[in-house]
Amino acid sequence: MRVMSLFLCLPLVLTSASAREAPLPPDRAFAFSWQRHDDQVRLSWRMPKGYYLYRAHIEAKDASGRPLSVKTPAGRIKPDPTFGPTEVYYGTARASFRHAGPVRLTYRGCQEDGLCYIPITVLIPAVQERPRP
Amino acid sequence: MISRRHLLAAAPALLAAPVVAQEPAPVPKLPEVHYDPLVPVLGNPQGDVTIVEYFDYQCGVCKRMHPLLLDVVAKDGQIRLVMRDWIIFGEGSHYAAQVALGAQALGRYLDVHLALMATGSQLSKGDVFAALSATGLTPAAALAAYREKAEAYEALLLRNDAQAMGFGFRGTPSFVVGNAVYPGAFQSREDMVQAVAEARARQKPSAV
Repeated sequence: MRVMSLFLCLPLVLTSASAREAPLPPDRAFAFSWQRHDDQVRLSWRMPKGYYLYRAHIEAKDASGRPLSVKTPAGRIKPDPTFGPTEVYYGTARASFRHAGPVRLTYRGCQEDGLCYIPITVLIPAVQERPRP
Repeated sequence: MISRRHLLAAAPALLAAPVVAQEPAPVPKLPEVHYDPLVPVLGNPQGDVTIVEYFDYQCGVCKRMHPLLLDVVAKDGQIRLVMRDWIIFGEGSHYAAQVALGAQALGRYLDVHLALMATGSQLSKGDVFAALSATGLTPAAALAAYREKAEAYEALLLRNDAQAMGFGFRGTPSFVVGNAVYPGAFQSREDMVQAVAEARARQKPSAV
């Protein structure tokens, strides 16, 4: 109990885990943008050095939760002597899908040997109906 | 860059808001973070310094650095290593955590945990079954033990999640060492040892 009461007296401090820079906020680690032209949606990401996005974890679902087919180019094989290779994107990544309705997009990535981020979810709105003349 | 030793109270403001906005979680209290009757503790349960790791069984970085962390804990001899499952990668992680917590209830946490930490970065139920084959414990047996306390264990997983969010963590692994918060993996043995040494120094009455 002595230890516990001691903790109550101590301020809690936030530190970086090492000389490595603290992990970036997710919107800077995986800077994301999208463009929609009718039902065609193009996605792109920019990652600073030391961050990567998993190809297998770019997932889109429609409003009912049904998975949509997302086209992604081949990534870079990231070798891992312990767990086997995984396919990832460094620097930039692109993907696309076709769907006119609202889409829930989820993607995942990591800071190299630092942090695997909570999956990031983005809501992409449906095609805007053009006003009739 | 987040420099060393910012007051944790400032942490949520330092980190950008998530893409899908959520209510900010309250900052957890240290005794609740360090001590929980249900949470697995490795190392020396009576040790003088506590490391809390928030991890996910599908987090590759967590798995790669785990052997080094266990080695530092073993060589120190006075570290309580609190393993808090933080389910951020979905169903496979949840299933693996249930199996591990069931193994904890059976007094078999360490070997099952080590088997799960030695798997690939994606886990299916089949992967978990294969991983446990060398332990002599089946997932079914572990899950049966888990189900006997399922409500309490699910509450533990929710507590872990609330704590991690309350600390402003963005992913796994993330750590609390003594009263210091470390988002992201340690880069070396020296970094881990230094974090423990600094935690001990801060715990001395003269440091208060």
